[in-house]
Amino acid sequence: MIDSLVFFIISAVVIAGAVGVVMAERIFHAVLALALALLGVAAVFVTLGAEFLAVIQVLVYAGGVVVLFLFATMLTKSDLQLKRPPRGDELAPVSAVVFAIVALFYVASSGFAPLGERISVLGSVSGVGGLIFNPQAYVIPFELVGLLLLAAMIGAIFLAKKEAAK
Amino acid sequence: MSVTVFHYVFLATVLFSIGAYGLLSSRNAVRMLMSIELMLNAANINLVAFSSYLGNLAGQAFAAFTIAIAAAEAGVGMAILLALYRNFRTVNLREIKELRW
Repeated sequence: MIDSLVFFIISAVVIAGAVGVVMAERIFHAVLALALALLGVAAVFVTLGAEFLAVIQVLVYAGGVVVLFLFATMLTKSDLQLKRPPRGDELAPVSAVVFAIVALFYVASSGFAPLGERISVLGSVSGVGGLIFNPQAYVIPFELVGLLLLAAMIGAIFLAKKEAAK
Repeated sequence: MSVTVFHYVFLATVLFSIGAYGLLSSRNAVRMLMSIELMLNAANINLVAFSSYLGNLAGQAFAAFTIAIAAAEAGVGMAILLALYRNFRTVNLREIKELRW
């Protein structure tokens, strides 16, 4: 009982944040709503017993990505442009609503219910760490992710730096 | 009534749909990137929910990889945005008509 109450409160926070991202008039408020939604997703991870991912979510998203978005909002002065999304094409909301209806029907008709109660996974941090660093499991994807992050960092610096005066 | 995996998948579907709507409807490139982050988070909720209900930690490991790749995507996206803003003085994607028909 208390489980489902907590779940519904957290879901309401996540969805309110997501709606705020899409609907806020000013981009700055949208970024703050994004922080709310991402912290809510971290809380969802906690209810699922994934404490390690919840900590990573708070560190990387709420700590890093949201600050990056705030910088981008201010550096591109995009808060001063487009306070209202201009009206005109109704294709986007119609297609999004159609997609949502089809996806929800598919979820409702598929047989997830027999999975039943949550299995408590033992030792989230040590379990995930053991899986990532296990040579029989995911150590090569882990190294590839490190390589990808290095490439993304170099690419981002290259793209964002001012061009040399000719 | 207890919380089943269905609830989590339902929440992820709603979150993904909101993100898709934001991606399709917004003109501002910053808001589009934020919508992409919402959709990636919806995928992560699915991974972690099935990982938890099946008792298999592989989903959580993949969610960690997804978070790292989302951070890389956000960083490169921001750099492209700054370059766009430097060249066009706007991030309104409807006004940037180069490389379009």
